[in-house]
Amino acid sequence: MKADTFPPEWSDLLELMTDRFGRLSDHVLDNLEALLDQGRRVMNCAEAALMVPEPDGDHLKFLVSVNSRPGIAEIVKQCRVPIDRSIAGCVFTTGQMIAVANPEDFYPEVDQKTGLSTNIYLATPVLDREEILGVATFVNRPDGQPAEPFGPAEIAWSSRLTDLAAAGLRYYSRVCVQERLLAADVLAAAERFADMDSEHGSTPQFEDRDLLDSAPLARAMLALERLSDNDQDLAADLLAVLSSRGGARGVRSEI
Amino acid sequence: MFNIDDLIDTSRVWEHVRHGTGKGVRVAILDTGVEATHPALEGSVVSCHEVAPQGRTFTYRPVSDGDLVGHGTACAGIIHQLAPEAELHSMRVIGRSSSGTVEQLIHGLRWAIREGFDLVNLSLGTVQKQQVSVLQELVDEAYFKGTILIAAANNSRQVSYPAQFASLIAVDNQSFKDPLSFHFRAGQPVEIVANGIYVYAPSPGGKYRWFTGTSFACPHITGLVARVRSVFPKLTPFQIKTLMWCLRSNRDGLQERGAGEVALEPEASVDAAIRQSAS
Repeated sequence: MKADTFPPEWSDLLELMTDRFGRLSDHVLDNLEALLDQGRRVMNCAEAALMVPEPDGDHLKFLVSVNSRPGIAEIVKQCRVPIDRSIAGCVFTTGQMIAVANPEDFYPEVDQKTGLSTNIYLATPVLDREEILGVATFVNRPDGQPAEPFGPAEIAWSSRLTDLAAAGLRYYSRVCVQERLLAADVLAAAERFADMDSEHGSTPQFEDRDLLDSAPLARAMLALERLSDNDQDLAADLLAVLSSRGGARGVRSEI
Repeated sequence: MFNIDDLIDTSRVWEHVRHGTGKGVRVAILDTGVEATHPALEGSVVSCHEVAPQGRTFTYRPVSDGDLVGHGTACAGIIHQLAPEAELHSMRVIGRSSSGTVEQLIHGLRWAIREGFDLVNLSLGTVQKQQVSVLQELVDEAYFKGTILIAAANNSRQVSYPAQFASLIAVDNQSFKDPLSFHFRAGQPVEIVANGIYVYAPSPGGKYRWFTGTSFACPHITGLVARVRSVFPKLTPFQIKTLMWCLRSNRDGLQERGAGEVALEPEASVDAAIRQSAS
């Protein structure tokens, strides 16, 4: 059965579910970005970022990044920082803020990728009660301004800002869980739909990659790309059940 | 009616602090490790170990890969600048393994107490409460054995451990021009406020950076106490705290003596800077 044989009404409905309902976390990220950008202006810095641990537990990734220069934030978001050999990692581990000036080769990998040089740096833990959710970083002054280190008032501001960022991150985490549940519900609905079609002699079969890519289910799976490996495995297993094939792991690797 | 200020000649104590070098004082630094070969440390680092996971528990093993973050090296550099003859011993409890940090801290602290160090610099802490009772027992054990623990307060003014415990010296940060200046806030969990705003300190690779945070105020007090301990090696943690309280207005005292602004420059020795400030 080819993709175009899916009843269009059903495809539309699934697409609505995955494209609209399933993208709330993107909106939350946009809002976190707006919060950080506003904070960046208050802090009078060129760059601000929100780093969170990766599922491997060894690295921090840039979940949100804002920069006064266009295009830089996207490059920064591609970077990751080892927890055991970075100031941000030290802040994440200890929950203690650190400000550093004249760092020179402080962040060589990020600087190499952005082509910029880190001169002043402030890393503040994002704390939710006893839990360290991540690290907020503030880097350099905007172009044209002298590299004046962050002062005590700005450091105090960063602490307030990270309190708000913690609330935002917690919200983001909850929304991601809800999206995961939504994806599972959508998969279950599709499974029921497939069963109904089967009774009428037209069971959709996930026979080839083209079909899978174009199916709303694949979109749902792609929406899960921010999940941890375990969650992706779980989702992949759900898809395997749905497709009644053993190839779900291969799908997972595409996510 | 007398008070303790009338009983202790603080100017005489300050003379001892000025001339103390930390000689004979053994300081443990529980941190991210120390780059022992950094020129600023001048052979003061006697040993480098780490608390490493071993199955379900931890073990201590020597390390030679220095400091991968730079935090511990900065702390060691500040202590060495203030107490140049103190022996520094590094125990890495942060880094390498991002898991079990509180357990690593506990094991590191246990090691430092059992090794009988004079001082332990703890520019770290945790806001988690799960292991508070274990930490408190260790901090009390140190107090009774005469090991002085100096711990950084939380930068965000949250309650953190071990800084919250009364039997150690907890340090907050503020900007002081004189690296030996501090304030004493009697009756508060974090009693000492020391210099911790943009402190110029060694960084891995033989470099220097400016650091801000309570983490960098803490080694200032460790260095100061090392000076005191080198002159009065038998002082107990209680007596050291009392002495700190007596010296609480030292900053004002220095200003009254016409002290100028003294910056901690890497090329200038602190002793020279303090002599200059006192002259």
